[in-house]
Amino acid sequence: MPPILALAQLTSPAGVRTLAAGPDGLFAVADGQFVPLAQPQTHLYCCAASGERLFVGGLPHGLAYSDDAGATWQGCWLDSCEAPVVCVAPDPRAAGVLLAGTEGGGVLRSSDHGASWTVGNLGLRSFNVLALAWAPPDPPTTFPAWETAFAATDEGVYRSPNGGRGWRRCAGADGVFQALAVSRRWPADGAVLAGTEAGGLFYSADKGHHFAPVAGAPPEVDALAALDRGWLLANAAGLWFSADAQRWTLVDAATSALVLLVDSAAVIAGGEFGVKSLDPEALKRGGRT
Amino acid sequence: MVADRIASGSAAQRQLQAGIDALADVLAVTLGPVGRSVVVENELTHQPDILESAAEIARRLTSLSAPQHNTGAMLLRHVVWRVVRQAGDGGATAAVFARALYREALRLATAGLPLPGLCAGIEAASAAVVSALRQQARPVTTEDELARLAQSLVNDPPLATILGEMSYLLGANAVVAIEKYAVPTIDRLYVSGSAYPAQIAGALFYTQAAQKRAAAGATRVALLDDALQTGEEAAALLQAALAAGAKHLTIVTSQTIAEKALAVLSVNHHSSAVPLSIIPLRLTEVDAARHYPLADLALLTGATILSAAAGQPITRLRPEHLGAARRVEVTETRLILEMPQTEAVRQAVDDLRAQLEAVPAADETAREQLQQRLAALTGGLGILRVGAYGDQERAARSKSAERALAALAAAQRGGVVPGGGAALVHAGAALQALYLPDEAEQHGVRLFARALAAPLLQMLDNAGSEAPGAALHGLTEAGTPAVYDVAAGQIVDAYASGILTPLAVLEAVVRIATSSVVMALTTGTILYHRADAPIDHLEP
Repeated sequence: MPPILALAQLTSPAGVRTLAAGPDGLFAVADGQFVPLAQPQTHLYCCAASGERLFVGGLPHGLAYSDDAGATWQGCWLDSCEAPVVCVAPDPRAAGVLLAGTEGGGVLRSSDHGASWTVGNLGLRSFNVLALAWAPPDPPTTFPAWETAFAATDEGVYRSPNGGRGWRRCAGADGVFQALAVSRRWPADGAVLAGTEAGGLFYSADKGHHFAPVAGAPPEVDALAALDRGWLLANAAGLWFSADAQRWTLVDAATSALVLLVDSAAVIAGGEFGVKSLDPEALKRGGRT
Repeated sequence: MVADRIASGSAAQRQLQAGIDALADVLAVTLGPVGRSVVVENELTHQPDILESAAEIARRLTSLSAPQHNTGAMLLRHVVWRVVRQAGDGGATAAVFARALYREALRLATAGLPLPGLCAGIEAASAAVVSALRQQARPVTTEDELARLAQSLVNDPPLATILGEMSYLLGANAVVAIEKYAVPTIDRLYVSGSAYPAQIAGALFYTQAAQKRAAAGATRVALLDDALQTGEEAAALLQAALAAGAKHLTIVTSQTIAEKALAVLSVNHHSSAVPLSIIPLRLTEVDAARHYPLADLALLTGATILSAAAGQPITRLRPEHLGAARRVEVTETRLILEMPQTEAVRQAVDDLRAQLEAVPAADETAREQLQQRLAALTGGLGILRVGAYGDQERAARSKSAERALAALAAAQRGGVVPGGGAALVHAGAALQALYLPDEAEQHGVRLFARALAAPLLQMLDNAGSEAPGAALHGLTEAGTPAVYDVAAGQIVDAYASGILTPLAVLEAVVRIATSSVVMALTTGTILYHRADAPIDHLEP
């Protein structure tokens, strides 16, 4: 199985397809089969999908996109940023808005479905952005209404109230952060998790203004995901579940995932083992899948 | 012919009071969430301007038709203007409070209490109230808190949201440029990096010609304090950049770039023989000594400033003299460099912040220069684009935004207290514990306490409240952080409801109003010039 570092779900007239990316290239995943897709990057770091548009980030093209499920590709204009794109996060509320994190170039923002991007690094101290995550939208009657996003960098976690146009460093989160997850009940609980390479897990209950280390969490965090009621954490030891982000239970020692994707029916995990589909209810019960 | 008029003693005090009342009556109606507007004739266009800001109204009122009321009115005008310049808001509050304080004091002085004692009591009460206000203050740090505070200042939700966001991201020393926007909405953009006024040397060097913009990734930077005059000098720059392994070279000069040098740069820009992209530009705002901003750029980029006078001519440039930046962007008017903040830069930022704290609030020029340098060194500038359906509305929105930004900055530095006049009422509780042995001084303290309720009562009056006394009593009983929500007609928590005021605004109101009222009370004589009756015919 090819090792997988990134997952995406592409919407097309034929339905929703799962795509997986790793050092061996880009694959469409169906019924346990990996169908390779041609793509223009020689070093592929990430893939993402926004509606019917598929993105691949890496070298030498920074970021490229396809509107026909990978049959043809175009390069994105990246505002003279020459750094490789390592993560892409489409805004769940606004059609056409995406953020991209780069290795050495900071954050890029697009408001035209990824055709063109502008650099948005106000407030960032480090330009190595390893993960991005959006908070769910505020209810429409809220004042003030924010478009909150988070960026994990190699020296801390940052939050943006304006959809990635500017950033402010979160207090209490120092270290190399590589994983983020925002609560699905964000308007009510304002909870965010941020994971480090070897420095443990950090939790915020005030919409990311302040983080504190989670004493009961594993020290190594490769991937995080928020469920409707609870959280998932993946590292070399396997897959962990917590209902409150404070106490963690190893629920699947066979799934040492590097990336997690949650959709309506399943949790999709990617790693050295390829791709697995997991039942979130079984994970919550603490049983093996 | 102009004749002099002298008013002394009680006549002077009555005239002062009449003038203060005349202006305060105009400004008081604007106070609070249900304040009214004031229509002022524009002197230039003779069109009516609808104004809601006490500071703007006071600025337009340069004299009253009855000259004997002018002195009092101008005194109050000065109070309003000083408060708004210092704190960004609070003009109407200052006018109402100063009027109440003066009335109460004059009443007691007329009744026979010695004025020196009254004034001493007033000043002691002022210090106690400022201390009590500080104890009520809480910090304001999140974008939510800042946006709600902005909403209480501008009463314009889209503008308040963006002001809160900008204040949150840019901090207490935010530098925000306000521009006109062609469409009737509000927008903003941020300049990430150190920005300096500059002009590119030629359109050839733009990477996006249509947008008149040049951008590049990791770049080496050359700083020149001499004019770039010859082809030899230009070639030296290119050779040093290539020897340093650069793909991009940004040449920044405080003087000019001559045609011969420009020709060499143009030919070699993106040529196949020289794999180097070049952005040459000239700084357009340089101080007289040409020290700033080159010195700051040298600190930021690590470049050596090249200058023949300093023994470092351009032709003897070596690769190690070039600085570095992670990214460069040049627009029609600005150079923007992004680079990591070094320890030396952090130290310079701390020094500048200390200098800024030491500058008097009235020295706006010095404050602005330091803030601009600070914004450039810390790497952040905001641009607020204000649009509206008409020029008047746009101008009003822009001024409102400017004042609100100053108040938000003051709030970030000093914290916030309950708004709606409540913090002054709660601070009055501290005066109950203040005992001065001298009877007149003690009366001074008590009258100060009574005057503290004036802004709240004025807001209730503006809102048509039927039981202002009951509201005041309820608020006093509830204590801090209770406020009276005029719109809802009930007492609520200030922090939950977002009805807040920057501490710096109320401190300025109390201090400046006290100082001016004491001066007015101790005025023995007014000498003013009064024109004779208007001339209605001309002698041939």
